Amino acid sequence: MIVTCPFCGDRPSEEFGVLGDAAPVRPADPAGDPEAWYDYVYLRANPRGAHREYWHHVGGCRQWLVVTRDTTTHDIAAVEPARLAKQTAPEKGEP
Amino acid sequence: MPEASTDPTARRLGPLAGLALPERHEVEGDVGITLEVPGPVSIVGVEARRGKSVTLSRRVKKAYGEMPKPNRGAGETVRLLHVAPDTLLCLAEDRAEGALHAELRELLGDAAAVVDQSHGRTLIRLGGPKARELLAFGTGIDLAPEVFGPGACAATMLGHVAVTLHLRSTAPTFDLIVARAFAESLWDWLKGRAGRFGYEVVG
Repeated sequence: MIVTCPFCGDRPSEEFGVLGDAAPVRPADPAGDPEAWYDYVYLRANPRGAHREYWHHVGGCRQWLVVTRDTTTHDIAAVEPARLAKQTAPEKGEP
Repeated sequence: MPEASTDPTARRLGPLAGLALPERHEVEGDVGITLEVPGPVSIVGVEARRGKSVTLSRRVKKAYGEMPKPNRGAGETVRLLHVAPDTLLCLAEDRAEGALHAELRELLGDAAAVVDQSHGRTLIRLGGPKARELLAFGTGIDLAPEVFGPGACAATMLGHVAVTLHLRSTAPTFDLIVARAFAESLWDWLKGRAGRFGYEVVG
């Protein structure tokens, strides 16, 4: 599986570490709603199809990336630097 | 455990000093690989501070004539490898201990974090007509001459060890910069794969 790092170019996936879902947004208030914190820390969607994930190019430029990957085919639709990627809040009703 | 030397140069030779001894192993009367651990190398990591990317480029260009493009190396006496965004790995082979670090600190001031890695990294020089084939055993990057030509550099994995590669010349001659604790392992890995091509360790 080849990941096209925006900084390094085509690299094998072995060079990367995967953190997982890029959707959860850290609640602003540390003492805030425990439900929101529970969602943020533990609950993850497990979609079939397109999925935005944090990948770390640990064996290369050591930058965090957001990879849009199809979970059924492993096709990669987009790779963007995490520092420039827009964080999207989970939609209502999503776990 | 070797005895601690009081010779200031010996102290800088790194973990391969007693291992990279001259030897020649021929296959059908020839060698396809040369390996060398050059004498004291100054290695300094430079990373731009937040928002100082342009300042870093400007100061580097003024002092050394060129800010290398991403994944490229530039410079003669001081080699600058652009290995990651706003990050340079700087090499010099003719400097006294700490001199390159002091020079870069003076030059870059508050624009970048400048960290002397001379004692933390080791440089291995790999050459010979089979050098590309040898590297291809351990890394996934495209090493074809038209893609990875002279001056190219890459931070990658080689035999599961993180290395920085720089192609110095078309000969080809590659410089491999590796964390010191992994240098011995990588050295064995290189010699192990080089056996089939024949190799010479240059003293």
